[in-house]
Amino acid sequence: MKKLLLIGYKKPWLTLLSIVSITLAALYPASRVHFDVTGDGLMPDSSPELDQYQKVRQTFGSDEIAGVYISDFRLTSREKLVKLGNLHKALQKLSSVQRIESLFSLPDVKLDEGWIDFSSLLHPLPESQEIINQKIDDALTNPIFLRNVISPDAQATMLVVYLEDEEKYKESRQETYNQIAAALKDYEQYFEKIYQVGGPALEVQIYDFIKNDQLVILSLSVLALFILLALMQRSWVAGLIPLVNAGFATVWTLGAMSLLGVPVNMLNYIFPVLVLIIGATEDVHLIHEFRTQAGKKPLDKHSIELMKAVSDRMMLALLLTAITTIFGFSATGISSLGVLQDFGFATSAGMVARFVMTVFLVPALLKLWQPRARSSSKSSENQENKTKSSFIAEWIVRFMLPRPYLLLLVVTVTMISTFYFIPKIHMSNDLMSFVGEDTLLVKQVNEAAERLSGTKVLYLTLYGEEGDFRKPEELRRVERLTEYLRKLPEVNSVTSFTDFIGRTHERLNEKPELTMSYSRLPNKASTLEQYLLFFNSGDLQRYVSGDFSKLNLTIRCHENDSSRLREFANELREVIGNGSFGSIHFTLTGKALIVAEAVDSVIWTQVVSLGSMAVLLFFISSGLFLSFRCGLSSLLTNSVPVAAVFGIMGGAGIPLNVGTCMVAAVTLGIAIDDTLHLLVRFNRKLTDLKSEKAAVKAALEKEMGPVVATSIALAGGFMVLSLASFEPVRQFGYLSAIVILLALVTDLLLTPVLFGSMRLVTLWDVLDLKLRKALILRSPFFKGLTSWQAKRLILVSDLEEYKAGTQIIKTGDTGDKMYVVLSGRLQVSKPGPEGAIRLATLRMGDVFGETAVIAQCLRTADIIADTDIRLLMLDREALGRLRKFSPFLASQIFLNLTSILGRRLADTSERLRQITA
Amino acid sequence: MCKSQAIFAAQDFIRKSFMNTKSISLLILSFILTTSLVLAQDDTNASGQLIPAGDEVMEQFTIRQAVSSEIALISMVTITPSGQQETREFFSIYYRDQEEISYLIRMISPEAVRGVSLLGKGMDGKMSDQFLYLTDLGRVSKVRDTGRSVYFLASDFTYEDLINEIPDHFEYQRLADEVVQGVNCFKIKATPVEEKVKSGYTGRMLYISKDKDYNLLKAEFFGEGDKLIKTFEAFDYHAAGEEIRTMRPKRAVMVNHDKKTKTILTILGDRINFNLDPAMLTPEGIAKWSGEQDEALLSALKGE
Repeated sequence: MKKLLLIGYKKPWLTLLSIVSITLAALYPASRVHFDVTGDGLMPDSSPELDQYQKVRQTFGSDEIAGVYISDFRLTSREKLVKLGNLHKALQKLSSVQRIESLFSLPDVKLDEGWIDFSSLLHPLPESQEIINQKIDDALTNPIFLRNVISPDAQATMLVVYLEDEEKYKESRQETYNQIAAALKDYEQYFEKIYQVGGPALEVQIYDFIKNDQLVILSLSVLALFILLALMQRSWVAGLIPLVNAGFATVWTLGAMSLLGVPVNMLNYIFPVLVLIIGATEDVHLIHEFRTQAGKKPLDKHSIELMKAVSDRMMLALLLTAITTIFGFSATGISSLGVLQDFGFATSAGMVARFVMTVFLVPALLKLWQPRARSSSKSSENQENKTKSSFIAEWIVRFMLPRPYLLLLVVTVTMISTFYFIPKIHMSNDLMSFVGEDTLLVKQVNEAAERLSGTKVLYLTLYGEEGDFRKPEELRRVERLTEYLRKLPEVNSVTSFTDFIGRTHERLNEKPELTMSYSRLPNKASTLEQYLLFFNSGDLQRYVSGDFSKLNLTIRCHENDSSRLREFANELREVIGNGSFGSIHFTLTGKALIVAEAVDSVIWTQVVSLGSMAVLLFFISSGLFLSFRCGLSSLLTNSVPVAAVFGIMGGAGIPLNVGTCMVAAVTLGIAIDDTLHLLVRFNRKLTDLKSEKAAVKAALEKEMGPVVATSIALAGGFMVLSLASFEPVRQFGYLSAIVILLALVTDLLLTPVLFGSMRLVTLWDVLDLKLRKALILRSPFFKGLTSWQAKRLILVSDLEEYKAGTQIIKTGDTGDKMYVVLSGRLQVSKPGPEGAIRLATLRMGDVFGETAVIAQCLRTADIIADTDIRLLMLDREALGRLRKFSPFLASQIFLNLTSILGRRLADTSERLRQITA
Repeated sequence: MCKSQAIFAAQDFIRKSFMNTKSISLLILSFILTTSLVLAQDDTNASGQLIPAGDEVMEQFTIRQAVSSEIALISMVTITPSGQQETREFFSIYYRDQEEISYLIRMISPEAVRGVSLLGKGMDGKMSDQFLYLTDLGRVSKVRDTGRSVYFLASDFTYEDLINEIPDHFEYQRLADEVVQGVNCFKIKATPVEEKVKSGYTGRMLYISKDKDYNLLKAEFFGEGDKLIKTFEAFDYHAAGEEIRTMRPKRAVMVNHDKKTKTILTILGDRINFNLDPAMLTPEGIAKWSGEQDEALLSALKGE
């Protein structure tokens, strides 16, 4: 694994050429990546509700609709209506427009002085203003028109444009928007307000947001990162390398997305920024380490040995941080929502590509660039930073380590406050609210909704037997339900099949009263059948199925709060389901409702992504440091800031949505990196310094700078996202920044407290330790242990190395340590009148000094190194630690020690017996 | 009188009788076609235009509709966008009395709509008046011509499709011939003259066979932006006349691209040039129409 970094360093041009070639190959698919700006990704990719909705759409037709809102004080004047009629015609000519519902096209059967008139309300447009006024008055009493195509004050109207649902048109909704916009341009001068609302307008808005955000956020990130890194590293090349890497990684990712059909959507469009910022930290670590090693090593700074040294120190950290980060992002994709799946793919693929760049391209560029070595601790700035780090480290060790309960108290209080606020978090999944209340489009939609009807369309579908809904008695029940719905405050308008029949019946019976009550459906089935002859089945498709077994009520309301929309839907289901309108089999669906009800998927994503991330981190930490306690502690350290952010969300009224549900998993994956860096450093220092406190202090001194710098850089990077146009992205940005900063605090304070008393061994240490099998087989101390256990035992203990001739034990000294010979040879002797009497030779695997560990006693012999030696040293403290953290291992060791001591006793007894005999 | 003279005389008679009116009943009335008297032969005139020109083709097409009366029993299946079907049956009656032309659509099934009628009354060269009779309302109402572009009989035919077409109200332009159903056809573009007619269509494309029968095989209807709204096709033409050869399709389909619906018409029986009481084809007549009269028409169709 460590050799990976050497590949790019050994063959820089080949590496560079390969990466550039792959990038060029990826450019073409990358340029053709698909943009999903529909908001369909906010719906679960499969669910019973979605199946139901699709069935409803299949039966009652597509709801691919654009709207043109027009308002004018003199809207109903003939002069304005002529223009409106011309606009209707102009729009009808557009290739992507299937048909238009408006004052000029909706059916309006009427009987007038013996004449039956099937013409639409205003088509052809009457010559007389008086007749026009009469017709408008008619429309205001007709639920097919009122609030659907004309406002109650008759000063606003909507042209409801049904779009072709063929794929070729679906894929070019922006083209449709532009066509409609071009048509509207000619009419802007005639009306006070005229604009588009609906699907294409929203899609164009989302597309513009994505485009503008890329321009602003990405440019800002690139510029800020370049300046920051160039200043920090005192080299513009050092600032440029992360940008180049991020650029290549972005092209690769876009290419992969294009080839696998993953679109760019309203969430994952930020992946280049994330790749840039998060990936840059690893590049900086690598470049920094390279330059540090170049300054330290008395080697040719561009020799392969230099990169080997860098690799030895960095590869493990690089790999671990890459794994945790990639998993953190991919965990967000474990969701039934397409928008999150696409985010998970784009960001994790981006991080994989970024890791490849860091491992292969950075060494290649370092070789080609040949940076200046970093002067170690000579500059006054370095000295100053070190002093600050030392001061804080000293404070932590002196003040915090002795008072762990103080910190735990603070954590407990924080957690209690957090858990108080967490239940107050509300859910949100609503496209319009994501776009933001301040945008022009949302303001326009709100205005149109206020004067006409809201954009939230619910379909209340009633089910019966074939032909049921051509029976007058059934339709009267539907009519009662329709009237009930119209009285609900949440409802702007309801359109029902009964409106068409009721209105026709009313008009053909020459009943002049114009009321909103339509209880005058025909009594006779034959009358109803005869009215049905007036309608093409296509006109009624949206309201009743062809076999009259299903009937669809179209309910329009204006509720941007998805929770409220859900509540309303549930209330409605309860009222209809409790039999108030007879026994009705029904479903209530609609795109807006499915999106609103997808908050369950958001919660599920939150639970699964956070849960899986926590499990992964636990196992990584436990595995890396071979200790479940360590796994739990590192998880706790990083869970505190994540939990705190949930508290902040609850307290500040920030909803759980597709953006905020990613914060926990993503930041957990990133925040753990600093913890791992600290622990790895702590482990190394502990090996060197043999003292936990000293190791904590040294580790903090060494890591505080990079940890603080990367945390601030990451938090700054996430904060840049708060400039995004989409609310969930903004919230994701600043909440992630908060977690990263809180994690910095817990890393610096909580980590030393939790780990300060642990003797950590890394998996890598164990794997790297070369232990001869003969040692385990020969030594009574390692009896019954596997090679793995023996290595762990060696690593938690202290290793001591001595030169030949060194005296290890002196007769008469008081000892408390025992030793196991790992390599080399020692002589055991006793001082005699004629010089030392050689008693024995100790070799690999032999144990000595064990009695002193059990009971402090005087040494009875001299032991001197005959060759250079390596010893495993254990004292009571070490054994106590072993018993505490590795009870199984300790029990075996104690058994072995007992056995060794027993044999010693037996030997001594035998010797005594021989002397006395 | 030699044969050619006889043909000429017959042709002249038809010209006199029908060319003044130039009535072309499309769709349902397009089933009423007359014997071919001339064979079409293409040529070009001095300015390079195809001969016969569009209006000449239409003139020949018109000539072939020369019958004094006709009755047909038609089954109509309407197919909804989601594929459900509904079947209705009606009589289609055409009757000419001097310069007055009458046509009637009278529903006979299902029972709930039996008797619902649409009557068209028109004089040569003038727009028809239309009258609607709903049995349950017990009243005949005159249909305003402003609403004729809406659909009738829950089908894909509009009221406009049923009225007599006045050729003066349209410009007929002949385009390059095309093959429809394997038959070489005249392709005629019919564009309404706006100041004369209020049509729901911006134009139509008519495909008329170039054989001696001048059968209308296909018609396309265009709306705003020259968007194809509907396509009509007639199939299985056969000779139906006794005295003179009259071609009739057995089946016709109207596909509505706009509404995603379809209407299939099948001729269950037809008869031409038979005696009919003109009083039946009046607003009063359709209101008083009885079941016995339906039976009588059915018997007439069976040749009883």
